[in-house]
Amino acid sequence: MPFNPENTLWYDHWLQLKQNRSALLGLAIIGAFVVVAFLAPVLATHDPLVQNVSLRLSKPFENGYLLGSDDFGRDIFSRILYGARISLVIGAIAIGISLTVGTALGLISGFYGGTLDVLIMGLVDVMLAFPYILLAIVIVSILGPSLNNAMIAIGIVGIPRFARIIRAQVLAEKENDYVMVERSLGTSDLELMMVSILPNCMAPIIVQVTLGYAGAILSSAALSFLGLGTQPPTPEWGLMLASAKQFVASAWWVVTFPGVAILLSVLGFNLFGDGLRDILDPRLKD
Amino acid sequence: MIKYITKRLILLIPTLFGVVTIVFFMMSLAPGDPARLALGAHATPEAVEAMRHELGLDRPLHIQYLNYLKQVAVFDFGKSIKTGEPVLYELLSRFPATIELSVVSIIISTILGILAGIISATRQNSMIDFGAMFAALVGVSMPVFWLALILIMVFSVGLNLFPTGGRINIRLFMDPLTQFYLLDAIVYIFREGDFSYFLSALKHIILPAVALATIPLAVIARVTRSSMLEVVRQDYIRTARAKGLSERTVIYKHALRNALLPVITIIGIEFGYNLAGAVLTEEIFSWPGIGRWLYSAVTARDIPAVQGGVILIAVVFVLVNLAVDIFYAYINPKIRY
Amino acid sequence: MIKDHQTAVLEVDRLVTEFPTPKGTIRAVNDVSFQLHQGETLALVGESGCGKSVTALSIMGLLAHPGRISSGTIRYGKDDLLGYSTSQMRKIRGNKISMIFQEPMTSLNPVFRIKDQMMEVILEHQDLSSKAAFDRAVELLGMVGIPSPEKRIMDFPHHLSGGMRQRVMIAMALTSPDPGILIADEPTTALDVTIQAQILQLIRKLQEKNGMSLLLITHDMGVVAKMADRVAVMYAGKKIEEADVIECFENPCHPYTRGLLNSIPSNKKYKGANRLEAIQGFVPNLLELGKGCPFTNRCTVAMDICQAAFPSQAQIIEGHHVCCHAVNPTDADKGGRP
Repeated sequence: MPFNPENTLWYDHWLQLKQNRSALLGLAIIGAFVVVAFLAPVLATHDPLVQNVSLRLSKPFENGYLLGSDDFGRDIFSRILYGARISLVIGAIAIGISLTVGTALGLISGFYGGTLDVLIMGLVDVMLAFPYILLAIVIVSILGPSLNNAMIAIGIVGIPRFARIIRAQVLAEKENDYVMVERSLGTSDLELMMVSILPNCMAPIIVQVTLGYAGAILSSAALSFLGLGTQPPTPEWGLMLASAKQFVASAWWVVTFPGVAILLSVLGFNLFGDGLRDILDPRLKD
Repeated sequence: MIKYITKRLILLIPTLFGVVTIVFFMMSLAPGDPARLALGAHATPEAVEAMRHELGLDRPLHIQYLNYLKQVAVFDFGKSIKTGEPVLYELLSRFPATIELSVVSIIISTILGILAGIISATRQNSMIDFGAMFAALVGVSMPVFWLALILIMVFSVGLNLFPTGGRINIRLFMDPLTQFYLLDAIVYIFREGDFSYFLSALKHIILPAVALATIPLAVIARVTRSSMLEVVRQDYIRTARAKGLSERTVIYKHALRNALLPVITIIGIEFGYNLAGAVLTEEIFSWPGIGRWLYSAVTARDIPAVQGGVILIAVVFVLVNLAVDIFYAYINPKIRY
Repeated sequence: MIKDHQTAVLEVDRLVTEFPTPKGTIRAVNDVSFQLHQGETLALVGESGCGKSVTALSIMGLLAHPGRISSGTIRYGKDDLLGYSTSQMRKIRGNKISMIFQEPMTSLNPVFRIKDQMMEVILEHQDLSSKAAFDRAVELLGMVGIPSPEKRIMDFPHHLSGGMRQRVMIAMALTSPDPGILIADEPTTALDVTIQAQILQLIRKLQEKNGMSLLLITHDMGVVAKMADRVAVMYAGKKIEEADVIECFENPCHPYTRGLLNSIPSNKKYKGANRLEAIQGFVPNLLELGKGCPFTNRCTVAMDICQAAFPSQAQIIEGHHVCCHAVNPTDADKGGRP
């Protein structure tokens, strides 16, 4: 039978997604976010790092600053565009860490069961005993505040969720006949896990990656805001807000725009993730 | 019920053991020498060495670990390097501020969240429903620290309605009774007929409570809505209508009572998060709670304080979640042990 | 069998109930008329999806969204219930017209004690003190055969078995000192066979005691035989035959009614049933109904005209009406078999 994309399950899902207006809005926001991140050097009107102290705290549309300038006279608009790059990378790497480690732990735990399962799930339970942001703060404080360490911390904090989801999926898949058949045919454990079981766990993984991305952007901004993440003068959204408190009385644009950027990008991922969850994995609905 | 609670408490032991172990070994990886930090940069090497011996830092790691376990078992979490006070005391003295803020914010988010969820569910797919659920998703996506700044900018600086931080006007000094300023201030109303304490405490708590309420509010609204939609489809709701009860009774008594069961779990979890250190909100509003205390311990590299503080906060978090589970089992007549 | 021919307590006339869906409007009840007389039991019979439950919910004013009654009248005494306001309707529901449902396991609210659920309906419709309402509730539970009702009343629904829960539902439906009409929608379908018989017997006994009228909705001709005075058969939203119960069993005229009777094991009343027969085919999609008789595609005696037009109602004998082209009205006097 010739391959016809219209016959696949994913095509079905795409049709459903097209019906879901808020998910499409989310996808559009994510798309815009990615485009901005890649085209930041083209779209930016200024160098995000160049200071011009004589033009500090210019209002929006003043002195050629689209969204005004900050206390060092840097262009807020350009800094926000470059900030999208940082957020995109932080999200990708943090989620990459959570995903790989979490998936590996979940697979092993679910597939082998026994003592390994007890140990791994025990670790996961202990990690979940810490409030999310608190654990991230502690990890960063040990590793030292920097962009890389913030990514690692957020990645580690996200592991338990992936591990749990994957484990539950594996336990369900393991009971299926095809696993029995392949086992009896002598397929190795690793091959069975990677080739047969993992692809069947895709739906919840995709949902969790999307929603996790939103969480990662929020957390990294929060860490930078506390001075525990990205260090100056990097144009990072949370960091841009860190010094903003002193301007609440004088320069609203310094306070407002970076937050709008965070909110919009997080909202995009949440909208899309919510829609995906409805379509791919109704069981996960709260 | 007693049996169930006992079982849950016993299951708690390995988790708490794991928490202590993980925190201990993580903190032992932290750079910096606590002895040097305690004594300052100008201390002599001999003094530092003596301090290391006093703190037990010159012994092998596994001995240090066993010693720490022994200490923790009797609620000794060591002393803060910065203040020299016991960590437990430091934390407990800041706990009332956090509890007060968490309670006020969870009350706000519970009332508004449940209301929004019901309104959305009873008008499913209307513009109101769509708007409320979009707003809820915006709430979930909200960077709370930014919202806090915006609230200060608009309501404190712009409209001058509320102070920018603190718990009460510093000129008003209250005898510490409960350390919950709102309650203490009510005592002042009765004792001295003076409303100024209460008004000041109330004004101070509103903005941080609103900021902290945003995410729980959004989550509670979403869960209430989906739970209500699930419940109103049930047969017993049709029965309630067939009995001739008013729509109000059907929705607010028969449907809500059932729909709230999952919502209560969510409220508990969110309350646990707030209680366990609303670091950002407390920091921005200079609210002297445990979140702000822990953050300053982290930035000061006060290792015993961070170590003990994190363990204690995790314990509080786990206990709150346990309490929620037990309460859920208690109010749900279908669960019997 | 027909008791007190003169007084119809409930008169449904040309009722049409529709459900708009994205794919088109479904007519779940299509031009259905019948009368329920004082003290009698009318069985509304048909397969699931034929509109019998929707008819009941239309009477109660409890149609689920987006269902709506688009035409017809539902006369209760002198009034048209469709003209009633919400609050007027509430005074009828659970008081003058009560309803019990198929699923006793899920029809009681799991988070309230039996006491609360019973007293609630008593206090809603009667001017009693809490104490009096409680006593009345205990009395009712005793009446429906619940042992030690004063203890059971403190239970939550999940403490009770399905049969006991259905008894509670019945007690809850009969709180009024003068219950006019009980609508029982498949009251025994979800229960064990032995419990079924007990519940049916209980309903009969209570009916004899307080003279209420019963609209019994069922797909089970065995239940019909035990309970009904009169039978109305529905198919795909239409009422296709109505007759006295004995007439219905002895002289069923519509091919569908005969099919239903054939499908009861050991039906001794209906002479033609030598062996168990299932009706061939499926109920048509209610969205794809044409102008003709909806049974045409499954009918063994279908004719060309059946596709073209729905048959008008013919009278076989007094009180026995049928809608079928194959029934020749001129043969009606002779017993009217097509």
